[in-house]
Amino acid sequence: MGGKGGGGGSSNSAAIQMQQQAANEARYKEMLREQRLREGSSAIDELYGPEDASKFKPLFDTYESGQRDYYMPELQKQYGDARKKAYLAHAGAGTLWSSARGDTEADLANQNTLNKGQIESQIQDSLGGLRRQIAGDKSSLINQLYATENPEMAANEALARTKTISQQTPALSPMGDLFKLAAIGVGNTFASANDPYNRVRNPGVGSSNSGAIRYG
Amino acid sequence: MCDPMSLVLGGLSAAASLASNSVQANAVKKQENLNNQWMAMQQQARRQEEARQEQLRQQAEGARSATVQDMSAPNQEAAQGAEQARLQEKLGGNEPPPGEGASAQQTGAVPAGKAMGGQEFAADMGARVSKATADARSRIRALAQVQSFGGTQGGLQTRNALELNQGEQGINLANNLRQGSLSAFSAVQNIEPVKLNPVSNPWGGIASALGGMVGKFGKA
Repeated sequence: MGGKGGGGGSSNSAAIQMQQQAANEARYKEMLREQRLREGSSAIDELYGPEDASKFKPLFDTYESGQRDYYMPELQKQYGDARKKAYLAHAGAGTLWSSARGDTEADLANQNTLNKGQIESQIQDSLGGLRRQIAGDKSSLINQLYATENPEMAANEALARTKTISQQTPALSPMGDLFKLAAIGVGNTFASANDPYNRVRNPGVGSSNSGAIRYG
Repeated sequence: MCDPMSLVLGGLSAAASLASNSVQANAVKKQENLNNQWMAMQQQARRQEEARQEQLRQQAEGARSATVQDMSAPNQEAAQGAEQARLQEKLGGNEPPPGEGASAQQTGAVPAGKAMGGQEFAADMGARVSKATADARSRIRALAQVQSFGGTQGGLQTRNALELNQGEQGINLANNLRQGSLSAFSAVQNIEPVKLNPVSNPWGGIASALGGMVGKFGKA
């Protein structure tokens, strides 16, 4: 028999108490962290989402109408100018009341509708870009929240970002010439040149060698 | 025959040995109890953690399945159709075309006050302009259809990217919380069971000494 083997003393109980305390502390801290993350997420969601809701609608509307107000008057002006140019060209060519004039007007109307559609399409694309940017900002803020676990900072940052977005400027570009006019009066000139009666009336230089009919 | 002294000492030694065994058995039992308590505590903590993990996993799964639902073919088709209709309206593809018989004056093809070509000319020009405009609007509607798949505000490219992004955010939040909870649980796993340290057992020493004396007397 040995002199040892009895029990009753617990020399590691102090260490275990510390371990237990550390575990409780870790759980409590995790609970607080979870609360902070949920609060921060809610704050960001409240400021950002959903993007289609009324919160961002005025912003999208302003962004859209601003571009439309910039582009459309220019389109209308160019359309008016092109029609005026066509009118004068037809008048000069003597085809003002001909079907050729109808074709020109129809062509310009076609171009006008297509240009209008293209401009609107460009505006709608830019709105898509704005929506994606808003979503991207929201993602960045959520990532920041994970890094800092500070809901207050996340909310403030979200507010600042939404303000920055409302100062967003669309990339407006000069439009250039939107309307292309087909040559007006070329066919008429050609027809005049080949009209024998017209040649008689306007013999021109060197007409003796050109096979023009001469009388007397 | 045995010496009576040896017998007494031997008896005492046996009694001390029994007492020592009893003390040892008690200590083992105590340690067992403590081990069982520790195991119960660990099991409970593990069960709690499993429940927490499951709850958060379901939260992530909810975000994932909502995204899958949003990305389903019928939902994408509906979203694309709605965006196409919206774009057709915005791009001017739905504007009513001027009637076939509309005069040139009505279609705006002839500057006001300068219509001199007669009714026939005006009607012809009006018809041409109407047809050209209708053709252009037909192309605009096609453009709207194509655009609805792209990067416009509600176009599929934009919409799907945002849906995926939203789902990812839900999953990431749940995953982040799961990781945090696991790390807190690892602190519980680190708690050791109480270990009773061996202390000197007097009965063992007495039994041993008496045993030695029995040996001496026996030889003498």
